[in-house]
Amino acid sequence: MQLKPEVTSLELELKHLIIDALKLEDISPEQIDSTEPLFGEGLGLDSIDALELGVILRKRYGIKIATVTDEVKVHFANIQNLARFILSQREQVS
Amino acid sequence: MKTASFRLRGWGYWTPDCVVEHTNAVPALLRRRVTPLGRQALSSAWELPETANARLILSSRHGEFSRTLSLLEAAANRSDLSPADFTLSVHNALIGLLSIAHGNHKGHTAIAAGQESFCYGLLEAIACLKENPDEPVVLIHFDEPLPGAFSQFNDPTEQPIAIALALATTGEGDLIQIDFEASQHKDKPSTSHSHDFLNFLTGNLTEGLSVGVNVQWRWTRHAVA
Repeated sequence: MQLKPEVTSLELELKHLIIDALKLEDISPEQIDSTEPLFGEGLGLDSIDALELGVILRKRYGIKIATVTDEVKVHFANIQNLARFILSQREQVS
Repeated sequence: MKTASFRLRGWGYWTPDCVVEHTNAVPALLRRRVTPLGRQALSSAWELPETANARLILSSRHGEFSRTLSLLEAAANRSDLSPADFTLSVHNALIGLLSIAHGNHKGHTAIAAGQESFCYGLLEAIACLKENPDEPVVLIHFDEPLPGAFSQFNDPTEQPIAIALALATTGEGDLIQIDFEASQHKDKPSTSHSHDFLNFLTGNLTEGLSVGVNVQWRWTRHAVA
């Protein structure tokens, strides 16, 4: 499946953002697969990282996450889902 | 005068003029949650004997204050507090992380006693040995001058340090005796008890004296063949 160019560039931006904000100092953006799980398996982030990420996304993209629903868990599952979620929120606003 | 003693099973330390860098034994996922000073404290204790099954004591006057400062600054600017910083903004956070990483379930104590934090941390460690002679104790002490707007509250003599000691009642290691009594030189207190003790260790001295505002502490080393 071919991804839209804005999705892939946002994915790279998110990788940089996550590495920087969550201080993953020994990981480079190239090492993060956009479809690998962010939490538990894969990158190995935990629940505190999830909260931190919520705050960062609000600051950077103006996204508000009120409660953690199953839907939110899907949005946060990996970089690709997160990028799509942010773009869909932008489209709703514009 | 009161007297107590322990076996020094091992020790580790860091000061800014350390030429030898600690290896990155502390896992990256844990290290990232800790301030630069906290990293040095964790590294100092990481490979001591018994860290995995010792009772843990943390002593620090200010704790990891750089984290507290960024939380306070965020609050003052009415911006969001970092959840990761907030969860670790308690005095015992660092040994909490250490105990999780080592699977250590022995419990821990965190002490802040002003300028004399190191000495009272050591006293707490010895008291734990007295209470349970079969259980080793690891003491971790760290401090650094207060940063930013809080630097006006610093003692001019405060210097960064992280030091970790492994204590036990038996086993290999020098026997260290501690004598302490009401301070007789209150007008001339030592600049830093932890640095005094570090000098006693690194210099392999047989005796060291550190005078506090309230209590003065004498350490004597009895080498064991």
